[in-house]
Amino acid sequence: MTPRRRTNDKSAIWIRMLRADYRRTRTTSVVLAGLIAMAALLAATGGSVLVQLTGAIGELFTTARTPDVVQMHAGEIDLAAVDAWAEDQTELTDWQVSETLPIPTDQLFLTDEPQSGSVLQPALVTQNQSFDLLLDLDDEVLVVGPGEIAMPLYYHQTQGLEVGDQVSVRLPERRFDFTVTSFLRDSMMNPTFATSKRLLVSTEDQRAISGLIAEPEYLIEFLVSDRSDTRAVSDAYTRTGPATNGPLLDRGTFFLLNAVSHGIGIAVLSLLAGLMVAVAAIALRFSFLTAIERDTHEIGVMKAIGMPRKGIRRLYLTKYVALALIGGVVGSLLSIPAARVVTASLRLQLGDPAGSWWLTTAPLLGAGLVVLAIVAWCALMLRRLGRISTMDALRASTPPRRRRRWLPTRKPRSRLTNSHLPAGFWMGMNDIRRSFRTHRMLLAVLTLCTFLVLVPLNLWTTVTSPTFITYLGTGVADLRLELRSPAAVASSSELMSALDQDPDVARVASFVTARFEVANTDGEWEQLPVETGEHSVFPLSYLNGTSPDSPDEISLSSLAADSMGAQIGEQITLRGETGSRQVTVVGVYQDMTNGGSTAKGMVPVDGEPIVWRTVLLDAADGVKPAELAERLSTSYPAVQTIQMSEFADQTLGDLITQTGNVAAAAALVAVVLTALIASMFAQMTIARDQSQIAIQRGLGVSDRGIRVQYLTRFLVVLVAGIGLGAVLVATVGRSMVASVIGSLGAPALRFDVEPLLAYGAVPMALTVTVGVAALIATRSFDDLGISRLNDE
Amino acid sequence: MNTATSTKSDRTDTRSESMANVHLTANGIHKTFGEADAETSALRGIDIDIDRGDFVAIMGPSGSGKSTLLYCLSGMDPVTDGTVTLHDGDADSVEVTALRQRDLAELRLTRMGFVFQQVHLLRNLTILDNVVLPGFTASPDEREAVVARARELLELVGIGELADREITQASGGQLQRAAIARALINSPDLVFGDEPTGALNASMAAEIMDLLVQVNREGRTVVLVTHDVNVAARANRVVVLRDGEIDGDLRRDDSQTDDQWAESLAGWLTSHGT
Repeated sequence: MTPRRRTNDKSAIWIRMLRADYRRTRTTSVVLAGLIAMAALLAATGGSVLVQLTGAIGELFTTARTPDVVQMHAGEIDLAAVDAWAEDQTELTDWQVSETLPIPTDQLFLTDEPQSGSVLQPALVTQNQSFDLLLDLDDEVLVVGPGEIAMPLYYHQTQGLEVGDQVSVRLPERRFDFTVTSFLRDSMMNPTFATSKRLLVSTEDQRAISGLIAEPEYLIEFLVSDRSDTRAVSDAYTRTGPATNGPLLDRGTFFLLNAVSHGIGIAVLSLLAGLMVAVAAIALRFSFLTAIERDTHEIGVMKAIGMPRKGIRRLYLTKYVALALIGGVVGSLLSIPAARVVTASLRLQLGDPAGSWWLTTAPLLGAGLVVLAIVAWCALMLRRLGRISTMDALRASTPPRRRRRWLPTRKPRSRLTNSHLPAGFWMGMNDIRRSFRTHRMLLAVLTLCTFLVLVPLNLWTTVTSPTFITYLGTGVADLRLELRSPAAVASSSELMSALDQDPDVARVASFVTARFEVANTDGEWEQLPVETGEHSVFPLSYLNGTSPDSPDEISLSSLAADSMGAQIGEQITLRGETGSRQVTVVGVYQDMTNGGSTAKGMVPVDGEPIVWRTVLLDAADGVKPAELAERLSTSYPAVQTIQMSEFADQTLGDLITQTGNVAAAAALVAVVLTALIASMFAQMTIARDQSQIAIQRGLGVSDRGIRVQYLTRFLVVLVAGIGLGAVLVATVGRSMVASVIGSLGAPALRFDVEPLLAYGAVPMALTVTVGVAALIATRSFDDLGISRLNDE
Repeated sequence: MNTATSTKSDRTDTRSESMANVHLTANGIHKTFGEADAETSALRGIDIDIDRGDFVAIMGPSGSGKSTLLYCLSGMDPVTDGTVTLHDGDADSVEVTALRQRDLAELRLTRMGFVFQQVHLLRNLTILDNVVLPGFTASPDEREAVVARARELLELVGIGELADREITQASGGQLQRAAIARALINSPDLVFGDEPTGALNASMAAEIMDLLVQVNREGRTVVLVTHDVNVAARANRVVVLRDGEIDGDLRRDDSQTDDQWAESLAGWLTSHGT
């Protein structure tokens, strides 16, 4: 026989053995390949989205010629001064000042629907000449004629606005009607959570409206020749720029804003891919242990006839590598349509990325990593084969387990004889105790599943709870009135005196938020909106300290305090248009609004740039807040009247919706995972215990009695898993959420747990899942007769 | 020769003449294994009556179907055709082959005891726990009585001091004694043994057989499968199987001494090629 021939024969034997193995374990093999495919699909899709996202943002920024530095400015502007400043800067290649006309939301109508409930800040603009271009959906520079308007994609995606629909701006003096001719991609304000939105109109319309808008705002935009100079230009403008009444942003911030809104998706995909790899690894381990239990005799025979350990290992490894490869290929192929679905919104907002070899290789890399991780795990598991001795295997006993040397041999403590528990229940408990190593993996999975369901669920019940207002930097009141438009601001004193005398109003307090600057820990000046007013009327709940009581005191949001490195009792310098003043920090509170960096004070705001005014009020006894809100809305259409119960929804709507979606998805994943792992574990334990089951059946223990033992094992481990999971949720989960939510401004977030849901419905769902999985796996012991056991 | 014999050509002799004392009856048992295209017949129409209080040894060459017959008689393996009936004195008889799994389990638990070649004790239980388990399952409300009886049985089989040991801390002979104690925990009137001494050395095998004889003398019917002539000589009836059929059936005459019976049995087995 030639060596070539011998190799072929050997391969044929391997293939035959693999086929035979597949026939025996068809369901398990398909499930395993499916799990690996799912992990590969998620990883490949994640890779694809990542590359498409960065590619698309890059492409959009190039086509739109996104500015490197943008200063937003509200109020009068000296254009000559801006030009003079810019001409002095050698790093700049171009600059421009773009006028925007903020439209109060109550004056903007989409197909006759007023936008007064919206938290967005729409503004009319014209197309720029050389850079910061607004693009259509084909990435062409948009041009609109008189009477036409190009709307941000946001309105199409969230409000179903279509090309051809009517949009009108109804100023007190005059009404302007527009037809939507296109939707626009705005490289700076595309993200859903950028509240400023630019609406493109013709120069003629802009000119006509401009005279009727009291406070136009300006975007002062710069292009730098070398992007490494961006920071220097920003700093220079902050120090010496002529018009600085507003935030200063740079290209990096715009990139992040665009990336973050889609990046959350990538993070979730990566997390899920990691989770699926872990699940596949656990399932593989169960499948492998089942195979070992079942094949111990065959392994013994192979060893006895002299087949090298390497050869036996390869036999098993080949099977798992084949499964991993099949899963990897299927996952990669499925990721092509999946990525198109997942990136649909991304491509709509940002456009298609430029062709790059990364577009093809990134998904393959993601899937490849999954396959590699699975193969490495299998190779690690297969070391166990070496521990099976030939004679043990031939006797078809289970593989020897490593003894814990530090444990002395002792008499078994728990005995059926001394127990008062029903025999089946005791047997189940005893099995857990005697083979804890086998059960701990199931325990780990069930703990993980409990954690997986409860963390997002508790977070969701927290963000939807009425007490969530605590984290939004506002005192608890029935209604919140926001005065943003000039018309609203103009009517503020009239509004306040009316509210003071309104018998339906029990308490009322007004606040003015003005923009100041404070030094951060790096010594740089940062903007800080300071809300001044009677904070004692609707007191906040403070993390530390109290509300400010005099013009020399200030309370900081926890993010602002962190950014400044300020402690209670310390003095900080507040820099405003009218000069600087020293204030003492007297309190720290949690605030997730306005980027999380805010302050409460009683400082004089005359002459300072006012950001907005708000009014908090409580309805009198017997007055329904909803009815009062309705009445105030009608009486003061320029004022946004929001019920406090809707405030969280209005400001953090996206976060709340996403949390709800994640909680639902996590619950589904956890239930599927629990069912899968529980049934695989049941198969493995039954394969391992077949002799024990056969003996009991032979003795006359009924199948039901044996099933009770298995249900006991599963349910006791489940109860322990739920308990451990709940403890982990309360400790690790809370810290995890606090660190994420903390970065948004609420570091001391406490879960607002809905006990019936978290400790009633969830355990019930998991119990039913595990119970059903165990019952299905143990539905028939017909093959496990003692007569068959004796044949072996 | 003072023995009652029957051969393949005179099969009706395997049936008891008086049904009043019959404990177990098999009628036309067939058992086949495998799929239709590769079917193997293990039993081909077995008819046999086993009397109450009898001690029957089933012998035959490997593959003759003796273990299969034992498992079919005890309801552990379903028959392909035929019936097995358990007679209960004056009460109604029970057709074992017509019972559902649940009722079969109940029957085995309460009225039958089993001893196997491999001891088949549960690995996660102590010796005493292994013995009490069927007792607790059958009589969950009489735990104290079950434990007391288990200890008594362990004393009886000579391993009372090993009650609290793990099964890994006892010898094969000791474990087989434990298995006998387990078989007797529910006071069955029918005990089956599948080569119960097959894995033991000669002296241990003799001790185990002493125990089984004692069990039989207490009035229980014992049916066991064996290869060993010395084991078969402790029975008072020997049935030889060949190719799934009864090839011979020899009953000890009451007047025979042990030696005479052993001698006549040896000769008879030789004549049957066993």
